[in-house]
Amino acid sequence: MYALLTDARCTVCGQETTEITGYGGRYYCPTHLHRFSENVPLIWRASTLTFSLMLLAVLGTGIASLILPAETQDAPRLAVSVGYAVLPALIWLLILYQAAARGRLELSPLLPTVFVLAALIAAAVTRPFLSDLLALNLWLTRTSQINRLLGNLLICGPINVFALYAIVRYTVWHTPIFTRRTDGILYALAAGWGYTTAINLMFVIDLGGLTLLSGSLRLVGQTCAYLAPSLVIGFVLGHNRFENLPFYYLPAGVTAAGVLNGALLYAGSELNSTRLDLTASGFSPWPGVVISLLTLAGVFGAVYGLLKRYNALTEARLGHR
Amino acid sequence: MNASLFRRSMRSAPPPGDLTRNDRFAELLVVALAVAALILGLSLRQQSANQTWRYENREAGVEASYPAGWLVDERGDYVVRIRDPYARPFKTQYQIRIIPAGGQTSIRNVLDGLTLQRSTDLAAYRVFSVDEVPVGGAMLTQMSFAFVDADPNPFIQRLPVVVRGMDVVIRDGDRAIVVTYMAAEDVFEENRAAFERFLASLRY
Repeated sequence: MYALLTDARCTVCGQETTEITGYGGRYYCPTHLHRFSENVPLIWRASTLTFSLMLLAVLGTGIASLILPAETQDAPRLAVSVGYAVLPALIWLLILYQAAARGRLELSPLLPTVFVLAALIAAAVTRPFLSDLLALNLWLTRTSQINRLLGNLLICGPINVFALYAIVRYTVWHTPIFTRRTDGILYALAAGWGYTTAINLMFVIDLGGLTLLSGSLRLVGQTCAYLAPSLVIGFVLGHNRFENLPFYYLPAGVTAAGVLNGALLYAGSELNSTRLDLTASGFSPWPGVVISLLTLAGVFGAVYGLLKRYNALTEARLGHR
Repeated sequence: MNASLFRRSMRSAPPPGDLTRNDRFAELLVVALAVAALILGLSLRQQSANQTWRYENREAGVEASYPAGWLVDERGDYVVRIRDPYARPFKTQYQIRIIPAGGQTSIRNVLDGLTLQRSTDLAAYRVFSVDEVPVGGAMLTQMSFAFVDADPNPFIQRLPVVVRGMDVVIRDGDRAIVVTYMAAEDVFEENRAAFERFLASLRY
């Protein structure tokens, strides 16, 4: 579905040129036509490396918890917790900016803006709304298991995911810096990292530091619960930006992301309640974090595969022109 | 190139560079879905918060609806004590006592008896007011009080808590039914509406 037009504007830069081409119900100038289906391997590599480091940190913490005494001092405990909350996002940004400094990747100044904006919205809007105004945590601890699941799916998921979606949709999505499908992943992940960093950091500060094993694994679980939906949001926004898709496509994607966020937040705490008897304490920090990490890996793989496939299809169609 | 497909896509195509009708509709639908999910979730929360269980004591001849999940205790010098197991540091609670009040015994005598007993049992017990208040079309006597609750367990280190309380006395023939509400000072007003619902549900 493409053709040369003479009276149209490019959907990315909005410029009128004599050679405008239609693809998927949108129009492109020659510069942006071949750009939107570009793969940016560095974005995937940076994310893979960061997620791998998170996995290593989880394993390292598991081993350290067997060696170190159960009760540590407040200061090291706080330092470890803050490290878990902040370092993964900083590593992700650092890898991207190092690549940009070497000229292998072009990064917009709006990337850190999206990161900071997401952190601010989490700290000043969604967290106060959920925790203080609705007192959701209090209700979730007191209510039945089915209500906890529904509460996470119907309240936490939609609020968190709508915030992440709105940050990308109303800042960068409809601007000339959003030039590739992969940019959806880039900006949604930046929003997701900012959002989860703020949520985790405030969680740590509120409690004055967390226990080495349970606390750290909970932070990793929460990080996965925000990053996996961010990938879904990034995928649907990136796909929809360069094709005029049916009206239900974007809402369906955002709803799927909301369900994913709610389900992971529920699983991150609920699955940790285990057998209670004379030898077992009824709590293990592992099931929640394992499910969260596996889900993140699954979503990451699926989004990577789908996006690569769509880009290959586009390249093939444009190549046959 | 498939010309018919292209023509079909061009018919519904938007002005270039702008949002399409599908984009605008999708944008509105995302907001609508988020709002709908939130409304559904909040109504579920409200429904769950207002859920009640029925308490019935045939021997004392009383029944009432109390918040779901609260714990019922009938082993004290009261008919029943119903407590919120999650409340910290002081467990928000309702108590129902039956006090014989035949002959010349007035409601004031009943309240004085309670005050005397609490003055010895509770630290810093103070009565604030005794008023006549309308409840469900009838005038009932209500006594407001406060005391300090300190956990005697030496292994639980916590600061003493100021507790506010309220007795509502119902004269029922030759007995007085005393319904008491007690909660930590900071959550007393917040939970008062739930107690009023409990009181309104009381049958004797």
